[in-house]
Amino acid sequence: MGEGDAPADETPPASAETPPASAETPPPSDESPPPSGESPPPADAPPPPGPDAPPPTELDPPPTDSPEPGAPAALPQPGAPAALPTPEPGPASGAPPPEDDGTTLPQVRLAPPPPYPESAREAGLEGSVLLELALSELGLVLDASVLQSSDPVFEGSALEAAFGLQFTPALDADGRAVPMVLQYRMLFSLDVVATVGVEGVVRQAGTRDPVVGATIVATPFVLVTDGAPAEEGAGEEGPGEEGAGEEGAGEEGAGEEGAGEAGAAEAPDAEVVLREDAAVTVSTDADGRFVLAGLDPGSWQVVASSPGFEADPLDVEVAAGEVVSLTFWLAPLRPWESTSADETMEIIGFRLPPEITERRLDASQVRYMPGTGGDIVRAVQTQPGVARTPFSTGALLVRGTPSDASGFYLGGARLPLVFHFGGLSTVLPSDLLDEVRFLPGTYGVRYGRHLGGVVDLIPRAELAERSHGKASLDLFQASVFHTQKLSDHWTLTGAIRRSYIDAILGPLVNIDPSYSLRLPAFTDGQLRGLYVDDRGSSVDLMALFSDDRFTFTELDGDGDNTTSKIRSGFVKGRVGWNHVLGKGWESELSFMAGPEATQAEYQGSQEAYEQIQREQLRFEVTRPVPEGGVVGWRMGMDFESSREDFKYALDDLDGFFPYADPEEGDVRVLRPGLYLEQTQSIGWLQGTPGVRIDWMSTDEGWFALTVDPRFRMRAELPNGTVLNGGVGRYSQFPLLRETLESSNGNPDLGPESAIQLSVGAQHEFFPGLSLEGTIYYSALSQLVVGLDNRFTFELAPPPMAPYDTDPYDNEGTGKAYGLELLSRYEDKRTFAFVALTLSRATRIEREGQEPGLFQYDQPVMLTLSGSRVLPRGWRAGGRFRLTSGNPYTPIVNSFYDLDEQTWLPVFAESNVARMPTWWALDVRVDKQWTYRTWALTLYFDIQNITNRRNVELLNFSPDYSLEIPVYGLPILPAFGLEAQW
Amino acid sequence: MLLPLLAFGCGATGWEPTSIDELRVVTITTDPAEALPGERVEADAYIADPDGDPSDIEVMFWTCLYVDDETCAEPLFASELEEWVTIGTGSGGRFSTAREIPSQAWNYFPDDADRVTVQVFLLACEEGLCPQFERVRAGMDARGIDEEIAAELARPDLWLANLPMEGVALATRAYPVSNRDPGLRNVNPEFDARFPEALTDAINVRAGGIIDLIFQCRDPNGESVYAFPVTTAGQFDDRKVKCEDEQVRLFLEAPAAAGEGHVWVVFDDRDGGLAVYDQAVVVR
Repeated sequence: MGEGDAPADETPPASAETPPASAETPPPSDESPPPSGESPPPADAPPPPGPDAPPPTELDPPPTDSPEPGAPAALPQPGAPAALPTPEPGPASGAPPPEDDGTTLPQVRLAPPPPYPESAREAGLEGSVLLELALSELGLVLDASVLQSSDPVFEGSALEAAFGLQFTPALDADGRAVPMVLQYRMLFSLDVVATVGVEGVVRQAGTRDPVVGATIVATPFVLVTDGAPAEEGAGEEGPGEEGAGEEGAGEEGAGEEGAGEAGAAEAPDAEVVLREDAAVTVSTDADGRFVLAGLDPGSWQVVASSPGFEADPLDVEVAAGEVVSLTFWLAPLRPWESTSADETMEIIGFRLPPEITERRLDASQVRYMPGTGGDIVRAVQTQPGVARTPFSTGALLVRGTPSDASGFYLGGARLPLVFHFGGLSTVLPSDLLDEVRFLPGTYGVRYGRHLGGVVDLIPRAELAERSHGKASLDLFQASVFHTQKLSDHWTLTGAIRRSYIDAILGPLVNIDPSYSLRLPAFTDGQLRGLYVDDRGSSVDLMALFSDDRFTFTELDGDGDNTTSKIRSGFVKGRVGWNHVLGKGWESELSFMAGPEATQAEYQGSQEAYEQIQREQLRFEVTRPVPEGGVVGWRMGMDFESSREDFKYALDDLDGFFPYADPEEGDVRVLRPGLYLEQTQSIGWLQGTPGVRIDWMSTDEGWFALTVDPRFRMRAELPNGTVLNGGVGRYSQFPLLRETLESSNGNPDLGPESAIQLSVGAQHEFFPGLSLEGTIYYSALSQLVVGLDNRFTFELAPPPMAPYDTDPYDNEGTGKAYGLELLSRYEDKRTFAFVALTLSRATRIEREGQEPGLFQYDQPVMLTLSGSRVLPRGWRAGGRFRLTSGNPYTPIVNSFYDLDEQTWLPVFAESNVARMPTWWALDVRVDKQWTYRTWALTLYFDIQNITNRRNVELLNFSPDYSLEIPVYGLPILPAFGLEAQW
Repeated sequence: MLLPLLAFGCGATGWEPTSIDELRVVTITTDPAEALPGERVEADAYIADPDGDPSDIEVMFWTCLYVDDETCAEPLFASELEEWVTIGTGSGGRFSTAREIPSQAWNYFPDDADRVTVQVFLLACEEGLCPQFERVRAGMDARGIDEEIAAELARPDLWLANLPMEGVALATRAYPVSNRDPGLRNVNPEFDARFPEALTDAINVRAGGIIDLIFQCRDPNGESVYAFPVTTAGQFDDRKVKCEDEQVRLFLEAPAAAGEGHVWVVFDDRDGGLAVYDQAVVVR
C-alpha cells in the first residue's frame, strides 16, 4: 500500500489514525427545536440505542436535498464502529432564546469522531453521552461537560472529541453572532457505518517531515455555466487552478487518488464557484495527519497551509462510501523555517541571553548570505566588532585584539583550528551544529584564557525526528552528511568533505613555468552517536578529523626548485554527557582528546612543526534562575593538559623572510581552571557576579595564576527594551614558546590581561525589526611583545614590518573601544541585517614608546546583507561590506646589504599610513527544486561583482622605492549544487 | 598559513634587476678578505651613477662594531674611529681607502671567538643632499669623532628616513676580523675575463645586441663562487650565476639606443670574499 492510500478494508476503532466515523443527525427534540425544524432530544432523553438499534443515520437521515452549508452529510464506511454525535441545543444558563425568538441555532460544521473506547469495543458495548457545550460567537467549543452518559467508559472519549467540534455561529434575531450553550448527544455504535470523506497527511516537501498544526480547509465548489450550475453534487468539477500543487509538490505533483481529477474535467466556459460559507477546517496532529469527516459527496477543494509554507490546494471528488487519501507536500516559503538538519538555528537577539553580547547565528539564514559559502562560522566574521582580515582568511580579530586572542570551541572544548586553508570552510559541517555562539567580550566565567572573543560551536543536542542527509558539490569541495535515526533514543551521524580545488584549479594557476603551486587540499570527517533519554539527559560520542595540505614550488635564480610544504590537522574524540539532576540543576561533562599537528617544510631541510597531544575536560553544574525564583548558579571546572612538542627552524627562507633564531621544545603543560558565578534576580533586574581562576604550569617550571572577577547585569524594561552591562578582568597566558628560556623565551613572562567594560541595549520596534547597540572599552596590559620576526603558524598574514626583534617582555599595553550596532529585519520572505562598528584600537609596544594604531585598527566596519525569497523556488541576496583600510608603516628609504645582496627598508613612524578603504559587493542567486522526498538547490555566488580592486597588502620593489599593492579577490563567480533528503 | 601568505606580500617582491638606473653602491671589496686587528685593509667601493657624474658624488666610509646592539663602537673606538671615517669625493665610480683595524679591538671580542665582524657602511650622496657629511666634518677634531655623531652613524636607519631616495645610496657589509690561522682565513675569489672584448678599454656591443661575457673564476678556499652582474648599459639575463667548473658565462643584452655605460660583475664566495670585474661599455 502506498503512502497515503486508504485502508479501505480495515475496520479499526475510531481513532485519530484510522478512518473515523462521524455523523451528525439532529434528532427531534421537544425542548428546543433543532435547525431546519428538527428538535433535539431533551436532556433526559432515553438511553441511546443498543447494539440492535439501527444507526442514527438510518433513524434520522440527513436531508437528502442539498444540505445546509456547514451541515455535511455522513459518508458511510461499512463495518466500522462509530461514535455518532447528535446536537441537542437546549436551554441553559445564558443560552440565547430558542428559534421562535428569531434565533438561528448553530449547526454542526465539523464533527471529528471520538475515539471508540477499546474496552467498550471489545465488550461490544454501545451507548451515548449527553454533553453541554458552551460555544463562542464563532461557533467554537469553549467548554464541555457531561450531563448524562449510558456508561462512564464513553465520557472521556466524548469530552476529548467535544473540543474538536465546529459549529456555525448562532445568530440572534438581528443576525448577529452570539455565544450559546447547547446540549449535544454523542452516540457510540458498533454497527453504524463510518463516514470519513477525506483523510491524509501533510509533509514538508524535500524533507518529508510531518507538518504539525497545518490548517486544512475543505471547500465545496460548483461549476457554473452562464449563471447556472453546470453540475452539482457528485461529479462536480473542481476549480482546477492553474499550477495548483506545483509549488508545493514539485514536478512529481501530489499524485493522490482522486485528487485533481475534477479540475481536469473542467468545462472551458465553466466558472468555479467556491462555497466558502460551507468550508470545513481542521488541523493536523503531531504526526501531520488530518481527517475530514462528514463531507457531502461532490467536488471539494482541499487546501493545506501552514505558516512559512506555500499553500497547496488539491481538488477531490468525495463519493459516498469512499475515503480519499491525500498527501500534501508543502514547500517552505523560507528555508530557515524548515526543520531540516541545518535549518533550525536562529539568531535570537531578544531572548534572555546569558551573556551581555551574545550573537547566535542561524545557519539557515546565513547559508544564503553571499560570500560565506553557506558556512555558519564564516558568518561570524560579518558580525559587529569583528575586523576583516586580509584575503578573508579564517582569522578572527575581535575588538582590537589579534587572532590568537580569540578562541574557537566545540561544546566548551577548544578546537585547534576551525578553518581550512584560506578560510574557505570550517572543519565541521554546519549540519552537525545546533548553534554558533559568538561572544565578542565581557562574557561570563564559563570562558577564559582569552583577551578577545569566543566562538563556541554547539553540537546539535536534540535527536533528529527522522533520518535525513545532504550532499553538496561546489567549485572547491564536495561533502556528504547523513543522520540515521536508529531508535527513539539514538541517532548516528556521519559526514565527510574533500576539497578538489587542487585538482581543478591547479592546472589553471600553474601556467607560469617558473613555479608550481599545488593548491590547498583538505579533508575532514565526523562520526557521531547521540543518545537522549526521555528526561533530556544525553550522551554524545563524536570522532572528528581534519587534514590540510599545501605545496608551493618555485624556480629560483639557480634553476633549482624551492619547495614549501605545509600540513595541518587533528584527530579528536569527544564525549559529552548532559544530565538532568533535578530540582532545576543540570550537569554538563565534556571530554575531548587527541593529537593535533601543524608542519611546515622548506626545501626539505628547514622545518617547523607543532605536535600537541591535548586532553580537555569540562565539568559544569548549572541551575538557571527558576521561574519566580531569585538565585541561579553556575560552577565548573575547565581542565586542559597537553604535551607540546615544537620546533621552528625556518631561520631564513633564502633571505625571503629573516626569521629569528630557531626554537625547539618538548614540554608538558597543565592549564586547570575553576569558575563560579551566581545570578541574583530582583524583579526585572538580574546581576551576575562571578570569578574565574586559571593557572598554567609547565614541567620546565613556569607557573602563573590568574584570578578574574567579573560582573554582569541585565534589566528588561516594561517596554521590552533590554539593558545590559558588565565589567570584568580577562587573562591570557603567554604562548608556551614565549616562556621557555631554551627557545629564546622569557621565563619571567606573566599573563596578559584586560579590563573589559561594556554597556548595551536591545529593542524590538515591531515584530521583525530590531536594533542592538553596544559600547565597549577594553584596557589591555602586560601584553607580550618582542620577536616579531619569529616563525608562527598564523591564519592571518604576518605583521608588516618593522619588527620588534627584541626579546619577549610584558611591556605592551593598549586600548580598544567602540560602538557596535546591529539591526535586523525579518519577515516571511526577507532576512536582512545591518552591522556597523565604529572603533579604535591602539598599542604601546614598549614602555616609553608613543601610542600607535593596532595593526588591524579599522575605524569603520559596515556590512549590509539581505536575502529574499522569490516565487517558484528562487531566492536572491546581496551583501555589501565596507571597512577602513588597515594601518601600515610606510617605507621611506632603503639601503643595500652587500652580504645578502638585498635591500633593507627604512621605515617611517609606526602605522602612520592607512591602506585604501576596502569594499565589495557580493550577490547570490539560488534556485530550489523541491520534490516529495528531497530537494535540489543550484546556486550562483558571485563575490566582488563589481570587480573592485581592493588593496589587501603592500609589496615593494626590490629596492623599496615603489609600493606594489597586492589586491584581493577579483570578481569570483562560483556555483554549486546541494541535495537534501 | 604563513608561508602561502608570504608569497602574497609583506615585503620586497621579485628579483632585483641587473640594470642600474640610479645612484647605487655596487659593492665594497676589501683586501684582505678578513684581517687581524692592527692589520691594514684596503677597501674599494664601486659606485654607479648612470645619470650623473661620479665625481660629483660625496662618499663616506665608516665602520661599526656593535657591542650589545648599542652604538657604533662608542666609546670603544672613539680614538680610532676617525681612522675609519673617511669623507671624500668619488672618482670614476670607484672610491678607495686604506685603514688599519684598531689594534685593541680584539679586547672587546668574546674570548672564545676566532672571528667576529665589524659593519662597514658606505654612504654615497649627490653633493649637498646629505647633511651627515657636514656634521661628520664638523664633529671630527683632534680627539676623533664626537660620541653623538658616532651614535648617529651607528643607526643610519634613523636618519636615512629623512633623506631622499634618489641621489642617495647607502650600503653596508660585514667585514670579518679574524684571529684564525692565516691558512684558514677566507680570501677573495679570483677571476680572469675570457672574452675578446675584455682585452680592450671598453666592451663594444651593437645596440640591441647580445654579448657573451665569459670568466674563469675560482675561490682559493674552495668555496662556491657566484657572479652577480649589473650594468648601466642594458641588462643581463640572470642576476646570479654560479661558477661551474670554474667558469661562468653571462649574457649582456645591450640597450636599443647607442650610448655608454658600465658593467660590474661581482664575484662573491658568500663568506665575505669579493672581487669585481669593472669595465666600461660602448653601445654602437
